[in-house]
Amino acid sequence: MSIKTIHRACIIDDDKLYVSLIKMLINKNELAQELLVFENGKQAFDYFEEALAGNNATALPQVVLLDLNMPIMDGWEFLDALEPYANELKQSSLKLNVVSSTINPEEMNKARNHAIVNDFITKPISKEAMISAFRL
Amino acid sequence: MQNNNEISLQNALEDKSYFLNEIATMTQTGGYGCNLITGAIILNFGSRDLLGIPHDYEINIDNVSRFFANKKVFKKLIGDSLKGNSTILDLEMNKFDGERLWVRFNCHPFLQEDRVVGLRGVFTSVDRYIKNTQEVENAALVIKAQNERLVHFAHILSHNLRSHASNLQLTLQTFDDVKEPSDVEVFNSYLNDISFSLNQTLHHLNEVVTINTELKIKENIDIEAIFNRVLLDFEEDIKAVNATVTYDFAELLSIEYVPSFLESVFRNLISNAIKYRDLERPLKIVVKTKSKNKRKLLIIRDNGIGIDLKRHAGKLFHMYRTFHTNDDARGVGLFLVKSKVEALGGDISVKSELGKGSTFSIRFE
Repeated sequence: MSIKTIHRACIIDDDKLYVSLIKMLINKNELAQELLVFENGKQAFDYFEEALAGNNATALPQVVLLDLNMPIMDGWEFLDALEPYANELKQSSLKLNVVSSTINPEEMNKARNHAIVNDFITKPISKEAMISAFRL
Repeated sequence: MQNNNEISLQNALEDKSYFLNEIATMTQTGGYGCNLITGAIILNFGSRDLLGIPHDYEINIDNVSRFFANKKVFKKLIGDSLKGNSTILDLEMNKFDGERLWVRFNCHPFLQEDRVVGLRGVFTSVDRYIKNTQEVENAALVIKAQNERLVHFAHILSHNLRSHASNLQLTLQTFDDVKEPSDVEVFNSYLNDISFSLNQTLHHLNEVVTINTELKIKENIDIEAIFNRVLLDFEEDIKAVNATVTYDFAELLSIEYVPSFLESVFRNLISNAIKYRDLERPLKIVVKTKSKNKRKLLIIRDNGIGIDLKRHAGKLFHMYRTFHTNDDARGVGLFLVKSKVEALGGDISVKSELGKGSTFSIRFE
């Protein structure tokens, strides 16, 4: 299995330790050339909205790892906010994965069945799961 | 003589008025009659006792409405009766002194030549039953809310424990082949962080669990003394941010409460006020107690950044909900405050406006 380095990845998570670990994993395995990090849904949405509204799809990441439980705007609120752009997102090559340590089956199913969501990944995310999330 | 005694005993045992009075007393029942031609209202047996009406107070069609708590219900009752319909319903009456009383009330029109010329009926106090039901319903609501918070608590706690466990696993995985001393240092610092967070979560868990298991010993406590003790701990912070704290406990100086709970309420709310102060203006915290009727209140107001209640009201008192980007926002304080206040039979509410400040009101039992 060959790993192709993607251009830009994005982590939306408020757990700083987790974010540094993911950064290390991405660098070590050369999974992405560039990494966007947002501490909460609001920060990420502001970035996405600007790219989408400005028709600047190239600014969008190819892979997103989205946490659910965050302050200000949580993962669900972020997904709701993106709803109006669902079509544009589907046309772009963006793969949005929800990554959470929730064990609530309701939340897991809700994430899997969400139109914009590619997959639900349980934390801790293994190296294999990371690599498969980054395979386009 | 023997014969006469037997007859009077027989009469006594069959005396209808005796039994009527006994029924009225036992069941807390009163009767009334209203003469629609003269407007006079006659109260029978238990009525005056039940409503505490003095014997010389005359009641007529003009002043009778004061005894009915709900004027709409009263109007409908009269309207239906004048149309010749009988009514039976539960309604709330005002006693002579203004106290409310739930009764089962009936009213039958009295007709002469097809015209309603009088109304009469009885009413029985059902106050005890209605109030019991209301208490049970209220208790059920509190239990339901507590239960929801506990389920949420269990979820969030498991979520947090899993986060730490998963970070630990991820750290070990990421550093599985470290050899460089600088990498080892980073590795150790990560382990330290995880251990610290894990400890904190366990500490929170312990604090929440003990609220409901510990013996809650209430003492008569001096509110000002407790407040000053907490304030002392914040002395440096208050000075550092140039905050003013004023208080007035004149309306309620002391209360039967668990001292550590009150201390925790003060500590969390003051710490929040400092954390979420508005950097545009010096922080002002105003604390006071209020005692109105049977309600005992503690009010803590600040001029901080405020909370967007439209978005957050439902989740404000949930555990690990944070609404600000502050690094030290951990979302435990308000959850603990609410749990403690409710464990002692009270409640807490908040009013807030973004950019203006927040006001927390605690109702003691």
